[in-house]
Amino acid sequence: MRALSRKICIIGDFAVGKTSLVRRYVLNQFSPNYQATLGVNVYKYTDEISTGTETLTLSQILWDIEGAKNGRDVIETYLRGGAGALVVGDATRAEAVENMQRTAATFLAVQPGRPVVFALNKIDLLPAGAEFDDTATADELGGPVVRTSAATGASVPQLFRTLGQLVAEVDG
Amino acid sequence: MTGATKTPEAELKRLLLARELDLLYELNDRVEGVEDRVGSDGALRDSVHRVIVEVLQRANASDHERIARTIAPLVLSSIREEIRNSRDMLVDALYPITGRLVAAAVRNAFRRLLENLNDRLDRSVSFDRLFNRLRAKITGSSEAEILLLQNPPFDITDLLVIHRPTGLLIARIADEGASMAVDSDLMAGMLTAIMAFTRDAFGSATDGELSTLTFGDAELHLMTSPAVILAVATRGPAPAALGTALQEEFVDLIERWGETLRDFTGSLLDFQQRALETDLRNSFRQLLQRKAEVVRRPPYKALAVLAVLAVLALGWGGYSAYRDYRVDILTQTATRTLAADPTLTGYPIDVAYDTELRTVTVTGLFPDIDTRLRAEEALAAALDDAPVQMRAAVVPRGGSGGAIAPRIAALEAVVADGLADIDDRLDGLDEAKSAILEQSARTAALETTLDDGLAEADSRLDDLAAAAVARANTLELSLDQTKAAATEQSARIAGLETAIGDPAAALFRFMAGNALFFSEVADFRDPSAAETTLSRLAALIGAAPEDMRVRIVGYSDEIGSSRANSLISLDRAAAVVDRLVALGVPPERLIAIGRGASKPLSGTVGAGSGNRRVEFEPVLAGEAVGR
Ligand SMILES: Nc1nc2c(ncn2[C@@H]2O[C@H](COP(=O)(O)OP(=O)(O)O)[C@@H](O)[C@H]2O)c(=O)[nH]1
Ligand SMILES: [Mg+2]
Repeated sequence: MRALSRKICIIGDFAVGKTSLVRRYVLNQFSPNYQATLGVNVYKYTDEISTGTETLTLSQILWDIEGAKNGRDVIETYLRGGAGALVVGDATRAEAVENMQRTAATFLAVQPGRPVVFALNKIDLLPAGAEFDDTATADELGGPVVRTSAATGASVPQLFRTLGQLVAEVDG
Repeated sequence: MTGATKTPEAELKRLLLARELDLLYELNDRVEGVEDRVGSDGALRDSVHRVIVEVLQRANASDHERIARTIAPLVLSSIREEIRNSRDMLVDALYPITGRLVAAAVRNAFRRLLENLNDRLDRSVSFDRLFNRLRAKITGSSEAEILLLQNPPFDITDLLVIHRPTGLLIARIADEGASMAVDSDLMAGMLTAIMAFTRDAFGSATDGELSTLTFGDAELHLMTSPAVILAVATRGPAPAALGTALQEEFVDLIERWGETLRDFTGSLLDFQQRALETDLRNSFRQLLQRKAEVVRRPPYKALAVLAVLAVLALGWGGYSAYRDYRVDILTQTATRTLAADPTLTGYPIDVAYDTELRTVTVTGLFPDIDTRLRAEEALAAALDDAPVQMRAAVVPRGGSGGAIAPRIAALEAVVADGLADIDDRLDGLDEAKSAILEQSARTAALETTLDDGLAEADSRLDDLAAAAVARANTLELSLDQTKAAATEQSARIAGLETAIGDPAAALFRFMAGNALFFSEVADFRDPSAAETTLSRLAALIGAAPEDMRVRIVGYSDEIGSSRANSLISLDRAAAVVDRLVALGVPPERLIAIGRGASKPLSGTVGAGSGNRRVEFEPVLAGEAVGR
C-alpha cells in the first residue's frame, strides 16, 4: 500500500473547539483544558484512506493553529505547505459561517487550490431536534460541511476522513 | 523565352522588344529567387536564421555600443523576471556556492583575528603566559593540550532532515543511544513551527533564522536553506570548529540533494530514501570523525591563545591549581588513551576523577569484555600508577550484532574437539605402528630360528606380511578420514566465520574505516600495507552479495591544477581497481572515479599527506554503471 505524509492545518476563531476536535480524533479523548504553546501544536494521525482508485496510508501531520488576535502574519507562516485545511466554526454562534468563510480565504490565499472542509462544532449545545440545511451552507462555503461535537465525539472521525480523502485525491 | 514564331505580330514583337523581354524574364527569375528566400514567414525565418549569428557578431564588433543598448534591457528584464519567479529555487541552487564563500570569509576573518592576537601575545610578556608555558614545559604537553584539559566530552546524537515548506520529516539518523521519545514526524513539525515562530517574532527585521536551541548540556543546531532544514543534536559543549563542520556538511547535502528535496511531496522513492540515508549516515560518521580530529589536532596557535585567555580568566595559582591540573591531566590522558582505541568509537564511555576516592573512574559501555580488559591495561600503562576504577558495563550478549564472542568461543570449542579427535586417532596410529614394528621383529626372529621349517615359515611370513599390509592400508584409510574430517572442520569454521558477520555489513564496515595512501602519483605509500588492505577488500567483496558494488574513489592533495589533480586521482583509483581485479574481483563490481582535491582530510600536501588517497564507497542501488 502506498504511504503518504501530508500537512493538514486546523484553523478557526478562538475557542471554537479546534484543539478539542484534534485531541478527540488523535487521542480519542475530550479534555476541556489545554495549554497553547507557540500558537501551534503539532499532532500526527495515520489513517487508511480509500480514494476512488486505491487505498493508501495517509500520515496526517495536524497543525492545530491558534487564531492570531493581533496581526495575521503568524497564522500565514503556519499555513505554508498545508495540503488541506479544516476550518472550524462554533455552531452556536450566528456569525459562524461568515467567520469560516474569512478563515478559509486566508488559507486559500497562501495555499491556492487546496481542499478545505468545514466543521460546525459544538452541536451538542444546540436545542435537540433542530434541523439544518447543510447543502446550502456547503454551497455558500465552497466545501463539504460536517456538524461535529468534540464533547460527544459525534462525526469527528468522519470530519477528518472527509478531508483526508480530498487531500489524497487532489494531492496524492 | 519561346523561340517559336508563329504569328507575324509575335515576330514583330520579338524584333522590336527582344532586349526588353529578355530583361523582363531575367527580372522575373530574380524576383522568384527573392520570393523563395523571404516570401513567407517560414522562408524569412530560415534565411535570417542562417545569418543572424554572423550579423550579430559583426554588429557587435562594429557597433557594440548600439547593439548593447538595444538588447541589454530585454535580457535584463527577462533575467529579473526569472529571478523573481524562481527566487527560492535560485537561493537554494546557489546555496552551496554562497555558503562556501561565506564560510571561507568567516574562516579567513577568524584566522586573521587569531594571528593578530598571537602577534600581540608574542610581543607582550605576562606572568600568566609564562606560567602557562612553564607548565607546558614541565609536563611535556603543548599549551594547546593544556587548554584541551578544560574540554569535557562532546557527542553528536541525532540528525534530522526536514522539508521546510511543509515541516514534513524527510529523514532521520539517530545515535543508537539517542532518545526517540518524541515521534520523528511530530518533532519535525514542531521544530519547523518553532523556527517559523522565532522568525516572525524576532528575525523578520534581520532576515535571520533560529540557529541553535539549548537545553541543559544538549544543543540543537539548525541549518536552513529555503527548502531544507538540517537539525543536528549534540551533547556536551561543542568545539569551536563544529559550526564550520556542520555548515560544510549542510552545503554538501544541499549540493547533492537540493534538487530532489526541493520537490519533496511527502515521501521519497524507496531508492532515494535509502541513498539519502546512507549519505546522511556518512555525514554523521564524518562529523564524528571530525569531532575526534578537533580533539586530537587542535589548531595550535589558536589554542595557545585560548589557553592564555583561559588561564587569565581562571586566575588560578598555588596548590589547588596544581591539584586540579593533575586531575585534569589524568582524566585527559585517560580520555585520550580510550579514544585511541578505534573499537571504542561510538561507545558511550566517560572518564571522571573521583576526588574522594582519588581514582580515575571509567563509566559507560564497552563492546565486550576483552576490549574492556585491553582498555584497563592501556589506562594502567598511560596513567603510570594512578589508581583506575573500571565501573563500565559491557554490551550484553545475545543480540544479533553483539553475539560474536560467544559464537567464537563455541567455534573454538568445536575446533578443540576436532583437534582432540585427531590427536586420539594419531595415538591409535602410533599404537598400530609399534604393533607393525613388533610384528616385523618377530618375523625376523622367526626367520633366524625356523631355518628348517622354511616353507612353513615362508607361508606364515607371507600371511603376516599380508596382514601387515592390510593393517597399514586401513591405517592409511583412517588417516585420510582424519584428514578429511580436519578439512571439513576448517571449512565449517570458515563458513561459520562468514555467517557471524553479515558479509555485506563487514564490507560496509571495512569501506568506512579504510583507505589506501599514496606517495607519488599512483605509488602506494606503504606497498605491503596496501597489499594487505587490498587482499582483505578483495576477500570481503568476494564474500558480499554479488549485487553489491564498490566505488573506488581517488583523491589528491591541493598541489597542482585541478585538472591535473583530477587525472592523478583517477590514476590512483584505476591502479587500485587493477590490483583488485588481479586479486580476482570481477571488474563489473568496481567503479573507478577521481575527485581531485575536492575532499581534503587535512590541510597538508606532499608525499606524506593523507589527502593522497583512495577511499571506498558503496555504489548506490539504482545508480547507473559507468566510469
Ligand atoms: N459543549 C462543547 N464544548 C466544546 C466543544 N468543543 C470545544 N468545546 C469547549 O470550547 C472551549 C474551547 O475549545 P478549544 O478546543 O480550546 O478551542 P480552540 O481555541 O478552537 O482550540 C473549551 O472550553 C472546550 O471545552 C464541543 O463540541 N461541545
Ligand atoms: Mg486551541
